[in-house]
Amino acid sequence: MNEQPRTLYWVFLGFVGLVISLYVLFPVFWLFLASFKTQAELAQLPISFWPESPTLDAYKALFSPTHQKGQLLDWPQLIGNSFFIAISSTVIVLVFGTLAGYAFARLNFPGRDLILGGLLISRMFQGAALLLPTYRLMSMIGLQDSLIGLVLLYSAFGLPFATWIIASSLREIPKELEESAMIDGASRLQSMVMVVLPLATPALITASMWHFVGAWSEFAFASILLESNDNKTVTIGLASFVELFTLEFQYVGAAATIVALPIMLVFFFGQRYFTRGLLAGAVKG
Amino acid sequence: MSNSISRRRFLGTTAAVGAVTFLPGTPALAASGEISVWKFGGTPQEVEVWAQRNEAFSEANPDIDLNYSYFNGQIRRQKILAGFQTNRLADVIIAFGQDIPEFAGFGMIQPLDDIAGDKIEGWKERIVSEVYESGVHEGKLYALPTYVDMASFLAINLDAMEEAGFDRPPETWDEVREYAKAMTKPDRPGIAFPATTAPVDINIFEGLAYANGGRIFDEETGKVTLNDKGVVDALQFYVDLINDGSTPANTSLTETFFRDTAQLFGQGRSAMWIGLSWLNTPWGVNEDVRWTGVPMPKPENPSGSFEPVSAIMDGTAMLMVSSRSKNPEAAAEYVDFWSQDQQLEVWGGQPEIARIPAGKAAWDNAELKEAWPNWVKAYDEGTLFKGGAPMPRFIGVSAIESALGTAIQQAVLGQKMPQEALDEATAAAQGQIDLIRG
Amino acid sequence: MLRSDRFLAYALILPVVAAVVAFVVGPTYNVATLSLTQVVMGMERGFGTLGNFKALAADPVFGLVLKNTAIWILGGTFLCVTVGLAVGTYLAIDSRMTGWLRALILLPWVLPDVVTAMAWKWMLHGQVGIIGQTLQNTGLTEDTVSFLGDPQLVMWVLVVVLIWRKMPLVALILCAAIRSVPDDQMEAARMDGANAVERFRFVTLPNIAFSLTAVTVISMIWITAEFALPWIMTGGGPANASQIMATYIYQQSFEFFNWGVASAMSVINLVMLASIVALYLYINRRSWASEGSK
Repeated sequence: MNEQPRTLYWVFLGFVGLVISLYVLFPVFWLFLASFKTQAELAQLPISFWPESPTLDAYKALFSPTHQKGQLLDWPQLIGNSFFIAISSTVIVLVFGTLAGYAFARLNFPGRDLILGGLLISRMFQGAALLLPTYRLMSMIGLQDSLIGLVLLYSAFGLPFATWIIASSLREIPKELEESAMIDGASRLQSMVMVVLPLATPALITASMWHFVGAWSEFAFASILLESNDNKTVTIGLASFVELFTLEFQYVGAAATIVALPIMLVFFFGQRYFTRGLLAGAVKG
Repeated sequence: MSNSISRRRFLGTTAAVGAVTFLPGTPALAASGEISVWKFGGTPQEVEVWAQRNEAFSEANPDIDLNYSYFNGQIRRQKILAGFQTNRLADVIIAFGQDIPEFAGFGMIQPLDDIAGDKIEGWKERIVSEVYESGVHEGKLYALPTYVDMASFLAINLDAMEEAGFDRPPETWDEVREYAKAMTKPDRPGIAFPATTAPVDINIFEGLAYANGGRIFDEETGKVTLNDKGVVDALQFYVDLINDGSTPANTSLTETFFRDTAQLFGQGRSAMWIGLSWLNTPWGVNEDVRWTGVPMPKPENPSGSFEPVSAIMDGTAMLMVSSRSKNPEAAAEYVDFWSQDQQLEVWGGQPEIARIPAGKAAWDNAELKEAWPNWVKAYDEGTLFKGGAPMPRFIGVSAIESALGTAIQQAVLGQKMPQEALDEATAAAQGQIDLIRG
Repeated sequence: MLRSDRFLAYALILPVVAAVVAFVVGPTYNVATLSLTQVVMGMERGFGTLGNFKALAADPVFGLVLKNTAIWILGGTFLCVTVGLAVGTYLAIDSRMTGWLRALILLPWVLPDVVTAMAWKWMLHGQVGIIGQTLQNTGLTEDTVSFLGDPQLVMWVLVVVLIWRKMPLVALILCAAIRSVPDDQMEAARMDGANAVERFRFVTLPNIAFSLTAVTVISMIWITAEFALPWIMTGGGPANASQIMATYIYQQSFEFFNWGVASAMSVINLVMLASIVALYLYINRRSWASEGSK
């Protein structure tokens, strides 16, 4: 190939990459920039692109106990609560999703496909319409203002999809591996844990990351179910900066940065597994 | 009419339940026990101060265990509804005056007259009577106001006004059109008004419509009156301003809500804006912008079939007590706490200057006088609330306001003439309201 | 098949089924009964009426809502998958830039939608937003463009934001699928003289066909459940031009307190979507259910 088209090709690719980055990353970047601006600068027209005198005040305010916006929102605690909810429900989803996924992939029983299909369709039964009945249910069982309640709820929301991904990827693993382990005297459980699961790691990672992010960023149900300040989550904290009267994008930006950072780190290192898991699970079926 | 009978019967039952529960109440014992309080939204200062004052309440009432929760203002109605349906409504809820008829009609809140006893006298003494009235529904006090907002007001950039050769703010709608046209420059419209679906934007328009003798609903006949001439002509006034070329593009108005409008004005991007009584105070204006706020000028000849009003008002932090409260004495104690001068003075310009304070004492504050000399003067002369009325409130108010919001946007966008848009809105809203009221 | 296996299977899926029945099916059943109940003055009055459905049929807004919902779900899904495919194809190329992008592209998905909706609303505003200002400063447009205030534009602008949020994951899935296309097939096509477009059409596409249909359903499910984006950004305006099922249901139940009608709408919504997905699952049962296993 001669040199010129080759250069052109890379220039073109670079250009496409730039366009994609602009579309995907600019809004996030804009929030990030806002976190270093002052209230006055944010109100100013024409809009200044770069912070005129970058300040860390918004970050300091988030973590200083003197600035509580009257809501006693304690960011370390919000983050702790969100981590608790996201991690616990991820563990639940992972454990029970794997058990069920194994059954759907390996065992034969009447109604299997119907049940799996039904579970998948139930994923659509969420949204605004279910807020009230769910609240009623949660308060009936006494879990309306509790982190445990949210953990259970999110787990129920996340299980069908996780089960599907895990089942699909388990199906890809040759049965013979497992069977030979069982011939060697391992029980079904042993062979599942020792032989099958290690091979399904990418799918398990995918399912967990998927669920983790969903649980981490859920707002509608958290906002209506949680009441006490001790129980609030990061999304509720974030939403409190976008009240009717406030135009405090510096706090939104700062909080969003803090909220996104841990997840991005996880993604950065888990990316390889994540995409591989998606491929093995949801993709090949 | 069947619906009014059923509503009255329903209210009767609630009141009876209240009577049974509270008549044997222990006399003159200091309230004790646990109460929960839900507060929704508010300006940053208000939200902050509210939490601080709660500590003072707890100190003064060591026997009452106060359980205070703050929620995002946007989930107010769904949270209250969910709490009510599951019998977990907080003892005290702090909501909007516009909510009162629905909350009372559904049996969520109870009249304070029944539980506050002799405290009521003190409330009447300390609170401006017109504002106090905004908590009254069907002859009973359902909510204690801490402040009100009034619609509609006009913010004027004084430099722009003088530059256009005027020496006083406009006084009639025709003058507003004339001023707006004269103050318009290629890069700066003469006037802006918000026209999104946000409830405040709709309240701002209602201020104009009510001043023109319009109403959105006639409680007597149960009929939606969005197509009353008073409302139609008020909407025509919006359309005229657009057609005069005095506003930003019409599609811009429908994406610009009150806060954006305030920002445009504060940054010198619009010479006037129509808003609620707080105008720019929650956000401030650029230092080089000299401005003043005046009550929205009135139409020369009000054309609606109802009594024209000077302004409409509503409180958005009104204390109500749940009808199922297990501890109404303590709840009444909390409401009483917020009726004290020290608390009501929060809205007297220090720290909050954005509201029309409910407390009489708050009006003597120097800070308020400095921020709103015209308001304080009118209050002292007794004209501030004269001819005022509450903002629309009745069962189904949101459905009608939402239909009105759609009609406003259709007319602003030029999709329909005001009459046509409002005729359709009337029909749609009537259908909704018949359904809600049965 | 052993009988004990059957019991084991039911025991293994029991927790999942129980959780879904308790927390998803239960409340859904609640909504279904409410849709057949007359609700007056916030009180449930009499079960067994079609009044709520009739009211919907008579509601002039509902037709518009159906049309907008079709744009939202069908247009959104279509664009989400096509844009995702384009971006995924790009990301499948090996280079340092695509390596970074593959990690960073998930950012829109990681932030809560409450925040991203507010940020977009702020950015898109024609007069006080950075996008509107940039368009004007660079002279690309003469007047302010009101992305969210123009009834002709608003629905599509919402779809653009929706795709921004949902596309990255689709792109990553498809990127992974494209990268797993066997090299020998590619090489053979190249030897046969196929150009890049032909290779994509005749080698890549058939290989990722299943992934494509899978992400189609996943996207559709996501987009159905998405509510915060349109609600926060436009509240259904201007003049109901962006009113969709999700926002209208919310408005009817929490603003109008009219939850009989809101439930009726939810039921219609669920039946429509569930049948689309069920049909899809039925047609593709070979690939996702037992028969697909090797």
